[in-house]
Amino acid sequence: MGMFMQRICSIPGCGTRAFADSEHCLGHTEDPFEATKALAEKILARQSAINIDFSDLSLVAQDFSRCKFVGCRFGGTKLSHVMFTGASVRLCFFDRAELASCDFSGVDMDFCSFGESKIFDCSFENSELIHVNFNGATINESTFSSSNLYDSRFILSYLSNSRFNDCDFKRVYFMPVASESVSTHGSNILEAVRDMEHLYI
Amino acid sequence: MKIYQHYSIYGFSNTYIVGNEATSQALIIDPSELTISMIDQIQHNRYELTAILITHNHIHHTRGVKTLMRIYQPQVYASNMRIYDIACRKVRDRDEFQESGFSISAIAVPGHSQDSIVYKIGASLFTGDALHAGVIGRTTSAFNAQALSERIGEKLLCYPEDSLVFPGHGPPSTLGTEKKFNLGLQPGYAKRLAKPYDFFV
Repeated sequence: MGMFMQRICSIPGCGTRAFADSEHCLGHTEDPFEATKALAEKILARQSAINIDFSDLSLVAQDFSRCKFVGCRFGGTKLSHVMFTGASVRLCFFDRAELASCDFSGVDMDFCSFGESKIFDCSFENSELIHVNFNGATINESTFSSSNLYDSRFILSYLSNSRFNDCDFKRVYFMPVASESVSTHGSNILEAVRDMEHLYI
Repeated sequence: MKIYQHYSIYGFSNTYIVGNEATSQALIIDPSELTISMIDQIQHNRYELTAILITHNHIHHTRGVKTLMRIYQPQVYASNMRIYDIACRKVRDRDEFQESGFSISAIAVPGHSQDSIVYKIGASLFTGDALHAGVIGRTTSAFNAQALSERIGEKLLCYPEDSLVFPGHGPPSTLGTEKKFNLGLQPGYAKRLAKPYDFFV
């Protein structure tokens, strides 16, 4: 179950999605840097982010551990050293996002998309990654070990030097275009859909 | 606009409740079943359920219609005249209509089934089984696969790349990701599906 709400910048004729929970888009915000800082503080205080648009922002060294994210957009967002440890993430879109050294371990994630994202040195260990779209993602030096990947997809993604040990691959579409030094020890990789002939739909 | 996704074990399909905060009305897309949590969602938000939108008349997308009709009095929209014994308001390609305070466009994308309709509400596309994250809907022949792939290209890929894709099965996506990484939209996809026919066997 998830929720997603869209809001448009209130400046007449703008049409861009509003930044965070403000009335305006980032371009029409007076001080984008201060606005971003204030937003991070607000999320930490509330321990939740609902229907917030983080698109095209840069977030560095933030700790959102155990926070709740629902219906948020991270399209094209640059996330570096951001902690989502043990967070709950529902219906969030990370398409085209660049994630470097972020920690999603122990995350409870459902119905999210990381399409075309660049994931480097990130941990998704011990997580629930259910109905998550990693299609076209470039995943390097990352780990998904001991995670439940039920109904997630890795179609035409690039995987290298990453670990998927002891994972549940039930109903997972695992069709990377390239996979180099990827380990799946102890995982039920045979249950994954590996070719077009075995699609469920 | 608020979008709630529900996953049904029956057919492993997605049902969406789309709520309008301004009018306190909601519509439901492809009710594969009606669960207590869905009723709670409608009641908790004090929504008046005004419509059911059916993307295509397959049981995994319609099974909950009869139960819904016993509780609420929504108008059913589909490209069929009747679903079970319930009269539907028939939608055709490029139909535009208002429901729950939303402007909804119907886009016919046959291929998976002849009655497949995609509903566009704001920047969200509810694609049923026409388009999924990374793949297109299953078809009965290479000809239908080719037709479906072409129709998606003509009718859906014209929308902005950050349009959200909410499919009938599997995780969500964006149109930009689908344009680049959907296997069914890769050149020569239908040809690869077609089995070579040998006259002498």
